[in-house]
Amino acid sequence: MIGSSVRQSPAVSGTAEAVPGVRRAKDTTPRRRSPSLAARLANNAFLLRLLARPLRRFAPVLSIGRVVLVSRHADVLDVLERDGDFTIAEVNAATMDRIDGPFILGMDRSEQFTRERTILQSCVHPSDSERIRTFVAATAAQLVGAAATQGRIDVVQDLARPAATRLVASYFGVPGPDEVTMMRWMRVLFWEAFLNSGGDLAVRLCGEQAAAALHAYLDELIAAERAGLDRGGEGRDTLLTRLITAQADPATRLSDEGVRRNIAGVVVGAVDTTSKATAHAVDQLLRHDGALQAAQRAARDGDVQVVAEYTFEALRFNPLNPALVRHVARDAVIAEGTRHRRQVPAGHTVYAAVLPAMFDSAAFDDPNTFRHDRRPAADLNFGYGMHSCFGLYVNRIQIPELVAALLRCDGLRRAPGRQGRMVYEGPFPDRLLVDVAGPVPTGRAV
Amino acid sequence: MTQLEREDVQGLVFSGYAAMHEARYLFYEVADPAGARRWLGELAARVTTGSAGEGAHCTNVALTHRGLAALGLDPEPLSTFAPPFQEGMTTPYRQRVLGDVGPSAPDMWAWGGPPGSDSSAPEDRLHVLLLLFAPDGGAMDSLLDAEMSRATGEGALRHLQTLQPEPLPGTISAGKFGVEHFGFADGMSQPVIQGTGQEDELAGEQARRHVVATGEFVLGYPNGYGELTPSPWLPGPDSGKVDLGRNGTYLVVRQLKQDVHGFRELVRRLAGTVGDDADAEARFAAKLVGRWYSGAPLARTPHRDDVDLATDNAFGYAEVDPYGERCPLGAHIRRANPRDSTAPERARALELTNLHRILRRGRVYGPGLPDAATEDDLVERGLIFICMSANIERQFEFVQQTWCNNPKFSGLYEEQDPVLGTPPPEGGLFTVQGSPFATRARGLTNFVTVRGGAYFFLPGVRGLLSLAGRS
Amino acid sequence: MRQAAFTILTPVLPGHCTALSELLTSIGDAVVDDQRLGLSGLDRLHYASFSILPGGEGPRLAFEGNIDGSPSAFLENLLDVSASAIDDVYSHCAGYPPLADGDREPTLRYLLDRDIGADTFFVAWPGHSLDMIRREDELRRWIQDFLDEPEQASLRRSDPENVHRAVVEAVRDDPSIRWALEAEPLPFLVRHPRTVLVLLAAPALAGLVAIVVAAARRGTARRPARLFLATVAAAAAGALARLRAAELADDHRERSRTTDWETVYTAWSKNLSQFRHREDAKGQNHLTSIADIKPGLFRFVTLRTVLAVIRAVATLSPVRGQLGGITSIHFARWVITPDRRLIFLSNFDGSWENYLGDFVDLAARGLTAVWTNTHNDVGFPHTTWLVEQGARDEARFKAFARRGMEPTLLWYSAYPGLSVANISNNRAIREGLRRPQDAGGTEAWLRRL
Repeated sequence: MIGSSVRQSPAVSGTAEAVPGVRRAKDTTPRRRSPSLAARLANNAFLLRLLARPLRRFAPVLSIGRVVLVSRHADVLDVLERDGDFTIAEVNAATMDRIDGPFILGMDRSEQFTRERTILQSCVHPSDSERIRTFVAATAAQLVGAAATQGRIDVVQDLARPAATRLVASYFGVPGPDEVTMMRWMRVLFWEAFLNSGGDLAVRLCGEQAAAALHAYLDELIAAERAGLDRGGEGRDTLLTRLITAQADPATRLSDEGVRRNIAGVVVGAVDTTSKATAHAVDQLLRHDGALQAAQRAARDGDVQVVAEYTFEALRFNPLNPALVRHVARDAVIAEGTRHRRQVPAGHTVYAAVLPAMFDSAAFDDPNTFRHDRRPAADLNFGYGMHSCFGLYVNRIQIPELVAALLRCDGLRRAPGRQGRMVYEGPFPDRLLVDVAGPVPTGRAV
Repeated sequence: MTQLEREDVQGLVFSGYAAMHEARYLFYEVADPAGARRWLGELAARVTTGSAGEGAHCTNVALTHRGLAALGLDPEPLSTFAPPFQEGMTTPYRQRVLGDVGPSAPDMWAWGGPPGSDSSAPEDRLHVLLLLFAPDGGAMDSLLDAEMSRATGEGALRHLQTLQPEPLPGTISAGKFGVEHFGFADGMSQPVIQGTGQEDELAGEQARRHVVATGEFVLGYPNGYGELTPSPWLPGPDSGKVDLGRNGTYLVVRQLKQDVHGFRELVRRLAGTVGDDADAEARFAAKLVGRWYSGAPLARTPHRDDVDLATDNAFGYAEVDPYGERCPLGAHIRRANPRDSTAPERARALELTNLHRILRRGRVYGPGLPDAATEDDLVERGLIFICMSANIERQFEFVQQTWCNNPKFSGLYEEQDPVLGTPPPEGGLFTVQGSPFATRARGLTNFVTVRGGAYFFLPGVRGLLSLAGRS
Repeated sequence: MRQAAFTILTPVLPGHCTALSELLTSIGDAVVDDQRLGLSGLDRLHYASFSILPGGEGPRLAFEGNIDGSPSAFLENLLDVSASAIDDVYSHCAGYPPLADGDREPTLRYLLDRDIGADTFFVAWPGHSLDMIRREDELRRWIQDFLDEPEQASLRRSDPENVHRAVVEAVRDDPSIRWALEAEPLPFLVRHPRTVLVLLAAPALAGLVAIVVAAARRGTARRPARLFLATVAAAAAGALARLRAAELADDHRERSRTTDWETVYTAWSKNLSQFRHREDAKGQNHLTSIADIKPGLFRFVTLRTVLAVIRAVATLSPVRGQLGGITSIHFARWVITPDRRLIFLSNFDGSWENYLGDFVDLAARGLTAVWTNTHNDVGFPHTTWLVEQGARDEARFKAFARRGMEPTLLWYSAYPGLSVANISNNRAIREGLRRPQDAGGTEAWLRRL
């Protein structure tokens, strides 16, 4: 890539079909490789919950080869809290470096981590919540309305992904050259970063090209935004423009490259995660009839707060990640002072199994029952500790709003037969079809 | 594990004394062995160790093999020191190992050259190195006066020469020493010695990458193989042995002259290798070194400098840059520390690489060449390179020979360290890997010339007392 | 073409050591330009060395050759070129029939009769003849120069397939380099070690399974099968017990030695400069080493077995260019002499320090299994179970290895500028002209340039 940081590949800037080996952003008849057994298992929340019980009881810290699986709630919190013993750089840093450059998601506790996370945090304003809510509610209503006329909605492709992409454009301030390209970049980058553990060459190539294209695009965008700000333009107020403005103060100054790295890191993590969580929540609500009806009532009453409770309880049954991965940086003890105490040697990999932990009766009363009024502090949907989700403040609002828009539809039900099953591509849902009779006017002015 | 006896180890092992802006390195010849031993014994009480704070000023002392002989050490214990230390830096074999050929040949050295050369402190007379550090010029003057009169006042030692690094820049942050003459932030990557407490501040990658066994830098402790590196000894009472090496280490000093004008010229001449945009020169210089001027590693930020990553040292090559398309395979920092790229398996590679680490304590000398200078001012400037290692051959010399000077490093064909190396007269080669294929920069010249050098032994405090005959 | 090794061991006449040593050293000092032996003119010689080794009945001259084809063909060729120099050298050796009337036959006979070959011979790139190695390096330079031409600048913005096509066309257009497009396959065994491995291992494995099955089932074969298995198990247990006993005996001897190894080595290391005369003068180095095999039949048999295993692994390993993970050895051999000594001769890339470091870091077990059966006055480090510890004791192992070294008086390398990695890279470049063989396709091929 020497001297070619702005090399724009036709495969990326051109039409989606030109990308070899990678499907178009929206394509419901995929050339899909049959997923591996492990991938099937990881995506099957029911099976995981079934396995989780004996695991928690008989092998709360299970060690196989160089992998350690931790499944009790207290131990999972412990692992995620001890960020000096159980680190993330080994897991994520190289990936982040390849597609973006260093980003907090791949950094361990360090001055740099603290600084960059603090600066990002300082660019989030208290009033953003309302802004996000208003925008997402309007976008979601529009998307659902458009799709509902055909009687069938793909929760992933028709609702969650475009909505998240539009929020990225409006609130984070990165619209991309156009929405389709932007969605494809996000997908391809995620693909390369998180799905391509086998190192498929075509995927890597696309990922690298998308990274280069996004890089070039962001360079231009940042220059343009800066020029706009310099002109004294009171125009756009986005996370990106705030990062640029923050450069004026040495305490919050990121280098130009730092601004690019950080906004790109935030943005790449903002689309497919949201869409996965939304799809999971809807899927689980559809499996819990009582809850579905109650949530629909709340949605129609305009009580998004209650919808949020249902959404996150639904996510507990199938969270974004069934487990979080950490690297054992130094010899450590897990579950010190208990009977299942275990020494884990440096160099091993720890899976902090979030899903089993959220069914641990020590932290959740009657964990197998769907109860929307649980104490939220115990849930691990957004991770825990130093690396808990940066986008929490966005998605606490965005996901329930997306779910609520759907719930307001009349006759919401899973598409019949095989069509209604959620389809995964790697760990990401690619399709979840629901049938609706038609949209119901929103119960609340937006 | 044995507790590290910080109070017995000289402070230079633990710190580059960043708060001490002034430094002087004094070379002495032993004039009166008994007097010199007495001086050394008294000095042992003043030497800065790893336990006390740095105080008002810092003093450390090291000796050459000739110096130990001149103090009156017997041939038998003298032969128990590490072979390179015994042989010195100027033998034909070591010249080949270190790449001290052509303009860097010891015959031309300003100090430390072979007996009979023009060196002001030739190898046979260079016995003692006294390292003095003070926070400012005034403090240095009085320290210098006091130490000089103690050393030479009663005729124990004869002063040969003093090396005077530039005062450190006024503002120091995070222990950083600032910038070397070519304009790069220097001293970025240092091993962290196990048992010093410094390793507790690191986590994850940093800890794995840079924490190195105590015995790699301090004699008397398990080294990277879990063994004790052979340590020099004195015959003790009851035909036993007194461990002279314990808490000591070997110290390498080399005066490296830098041709800053030549470097800038070359960068200008060859920048086209990596593009024709405005950043090409900075990018080419970064390709040579492996870091941008700010210190940000190419492995982390391949496209442009990023000051936010200036102190980043938790990176590797194996995963992000196995083919050198970010940081060229032959770039200076990749040669001097290939990190996780020395073996197919990353964790193992790090372990192997960490068997060849050195602890650097360099300071620059000579005034900087102004940025605007259009021609060479012919003033000598460069780096007084100081490093420590318990095993000179496996650490310092290995880095120099098998990594920096090795034309075959990392599967390459015929190039050397682009910064340190002495290219052939027809000009050196530097390959910049890239896509779709590599670019070759030709006509590299020599920028770094060795002007002096010697191997020293930096004893522990008890070791000093033993040498003084006061144990 | 097959690579072969010869190790010609001849007793030096009493009192001739110095003269012989001086003669060889003088040739060795300018071995490339030397016209007396004319080694650089021999187109089948990869590496050669001469050294004088200690022996039970006085010093012996060792002449090592790493060649293409058979030793007899090579030596004939050598005698054609430099019979008189060979005559000069061997006139210092016992039993040598001086060259008379230009009849080289007795000389050839003399040399061939005293060739003890190699017990284990390692070749980094078997099947790569000297000619091929040189031509393929020439090809690599040719292609690099082509790509570096200013006229080809546009290729840098082209995609990999186009670059490949342009290179192939350019090669085809130049008659002097066109040969590179023709296939020049390596021997079957070299290309398909796995197939050979399976062919060899399958019958053995099948036999073993048959015996185990027979032992488990009722029938007439049950008794003999069980007897066989029991005998094997007992023999293995016996061998292990014998091994531990031998190692404990070694430990005992070590404890009762009067001078420790460090003192012995320190005293000896004053001779180091003898080796360093030649060491690290080029990018490659040669190592000559000799050690006594420990007394007793057991150690002798163990050593032979270990060498046979290493030979099998080196021959059948699907990963070429490395021995136990060490990727810097071009040619190496172990030879057991009739008077129970183990000679080790190696031609390798890089420095001694790096080479020995690789021994310790990468191949400690294998090398321990070999040298733990030998000793010198430094002594091999404490070993358990044949492969454990031993060479992991870095300082002592290096001292043991240094102590076992003998100066190489004359050493010749046909390609001092090529590393093991370079040779295989050149080969892959050439093979990839017709069709990129790398997993990464054309991109990976281009990375080799």
